[in-house]
Amino acid sequence: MTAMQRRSPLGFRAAQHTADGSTSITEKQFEGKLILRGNPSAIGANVAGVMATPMPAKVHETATGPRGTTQWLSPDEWLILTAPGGETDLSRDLTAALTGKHHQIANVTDYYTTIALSGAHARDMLMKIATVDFDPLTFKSGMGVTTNLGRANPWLRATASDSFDIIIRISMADYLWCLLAESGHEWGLAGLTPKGAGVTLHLPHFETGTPAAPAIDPTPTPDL
Amino acid sequence: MLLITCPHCGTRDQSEFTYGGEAHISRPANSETMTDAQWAEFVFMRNNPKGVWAERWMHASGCRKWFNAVRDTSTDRFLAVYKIGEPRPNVTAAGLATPSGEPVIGSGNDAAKVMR
Repeated sequence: MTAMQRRSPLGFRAAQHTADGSTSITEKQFEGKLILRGNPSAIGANVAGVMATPMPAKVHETATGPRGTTQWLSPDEWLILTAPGGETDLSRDLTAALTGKHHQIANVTDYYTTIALSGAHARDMLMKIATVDFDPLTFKSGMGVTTNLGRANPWLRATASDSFDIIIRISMADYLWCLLAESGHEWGLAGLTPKGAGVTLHLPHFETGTPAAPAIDPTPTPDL
Repeated sequence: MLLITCPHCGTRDQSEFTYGGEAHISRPANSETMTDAQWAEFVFMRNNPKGVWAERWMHASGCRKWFNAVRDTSTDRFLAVYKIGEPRPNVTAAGLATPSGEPVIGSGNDAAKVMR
């Protein structure tokens, strides 16, 4: 029997470190992620009861408790992060606490992945690719933000004074990983090329004028 | 760098926003009795003033909420931002001294002065 193997979106990328070893990008694999939507005045107390933290009420606010971290995304939308594998239980508990209230809980654990950026040059690397001010006086530890990093649109959270968790859709994860690596290149991170870069749609029979017979490659697709 | 203030998220770069055209245009309730000309008026016809007007924006890369803004089209200054559903604030722009109304900032026209 084949063992079921769960593969993370950036599992093929090794962690990257700057030359001085101070700063690194790593993937936090399989971190549990839920999206909660609802009217904060109606569901706030119930969610706070489950999370054991007050609900973040406005932009930049996050709250970390024993069950995980809640991050403000918009006036009626929150991201809830929890330990890997904990999303099912947390989702069940939240659903039970919100019975009868108009709300939505979506398990997006496998739709997003988390890139952890940590170290002395973390803010420098973000400042190079963001329009939001990442000065430590402005963007303090514990604050969260949704913004653009290059062409990617992640959710960010400062987990410590120079550590950030960047939550990004899996389709853009490798782009953002390589963008961060490129951003840290001047401090010694290896420059990387995103998977699929330079590959364009290629239809041979459009160019030759004769339809090509569909070629079937019997070898299985190699793991990345 | 043009900065826009989102009423939910605060001041962010323009690149995070998308534009939504003129604000405060309600869909007609009696569309089944309207003539084509009246329908075209609702669908296509917009004001294009030089000066203060209300428009819609969406903070696409942030909270993804629509909001309204009052902007002076002759200077590109945002005079007010307010949430959807709130009434339009009564703000007026300082007029421009030159007849052609060049913007003061970024115009390169040192003769243009804002009248107070």
